[in-house]
Amino acid sequence: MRRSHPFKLAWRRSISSILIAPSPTAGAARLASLIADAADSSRVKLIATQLRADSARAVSLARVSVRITALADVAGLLAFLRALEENDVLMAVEELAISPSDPAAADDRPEVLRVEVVVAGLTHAQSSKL
Amino acid sequence: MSPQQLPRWLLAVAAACSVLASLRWRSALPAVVPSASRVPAPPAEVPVVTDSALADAESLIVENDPFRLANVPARVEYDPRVDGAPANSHLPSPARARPSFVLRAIVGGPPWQAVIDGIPAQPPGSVVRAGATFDRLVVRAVTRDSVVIQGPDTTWVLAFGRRP
Repeated sequence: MRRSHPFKLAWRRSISSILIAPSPTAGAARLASLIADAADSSRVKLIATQLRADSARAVSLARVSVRITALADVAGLLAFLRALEENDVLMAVEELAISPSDPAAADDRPEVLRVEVVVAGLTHAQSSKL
Repeated sequence: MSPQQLPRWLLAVAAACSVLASLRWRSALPAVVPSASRVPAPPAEVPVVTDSALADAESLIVENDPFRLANVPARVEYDPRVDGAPANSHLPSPARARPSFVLRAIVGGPPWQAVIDGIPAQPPGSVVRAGATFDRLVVRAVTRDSVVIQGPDTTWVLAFGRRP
C-alpha cells in the first residue's frame, strides 16, 4: 500500500480551506458568493459588491479580495462577522468601517448601520474541482 | 645633492614607501568589531479565541450598543427585506415604473447567484439568488445561464446579451 508523503497530506488539508477556482477572478466571485451567503444568514443587506483579483499574474495561488457595502444593525453585523470567522474557507477581514445612520433614533425604529468591509482570501487555480 | 640625483632619491623613497605599505598591508589584522549579542525575543503568545469568548464578546457589544447614544439596542430588529423600515408599516407605495433588468453575470453554482442591474430600489450589480424578494418582485430561479424574475403581472426571463 502506497503511503502519501506528509507534505502532501498537509497540502491536501490546507487546500480544502482555500478557494478553488479556475482563475483569480472566478475565485473572487466564489468569495463574493460565500460572503453573500453569510450576509443572507445574518440579516445583512448587501448593497454593493466589488471584486478585486489580480488577473495579470498567472500564479496557482493568488490573493483575492472583495469589498462590500452593506446595511445591518449591530446584531446582524456581528453575526455576519462571526459567520465569516467560522466559515470553512479561510478569509480575513482586512478593513471594517461602520457608520450609524441615526445614532439618536427612537427605540421603535430599527438601527441601521452602513458597513464597508474588505474580505480577503486565497484562491488556488484548479479547474477540475469547480 | 646634485639636481641630477634628485629623481633617483625620489624613486628610492617611493620604492621604500611601497615596501613599507606592502608589509603593513600584509601584517595588519582586521579590526574586531564586538558583535552585539542579540537575544531573541520570546515569541508572543497568540491568544486562542474560543467560540464561547466570541459569543460573550458578541453579546457584550449587542447589549451595550456603541452605535446608539442610548447604548442599548433598538427594540425593532433591522429587516433587510424592508430596507430597515419596521415590518408593520403599511405606507402607500408610489406608482412603480416598469423595471428594465440587465443580467450582468452568474456566479457560483449550484446554487447559482446572479448579478443584475435595474432592480428597483437596488444599486446596479445587485447579487441575487433564487427566492430573493425585492418589494413585489421575486427571483424564482437562477440557472447557469438565465434568471427568472416574477412580478405581480409579469414574469421576466433574463439571459445574457439581451434585455427582456
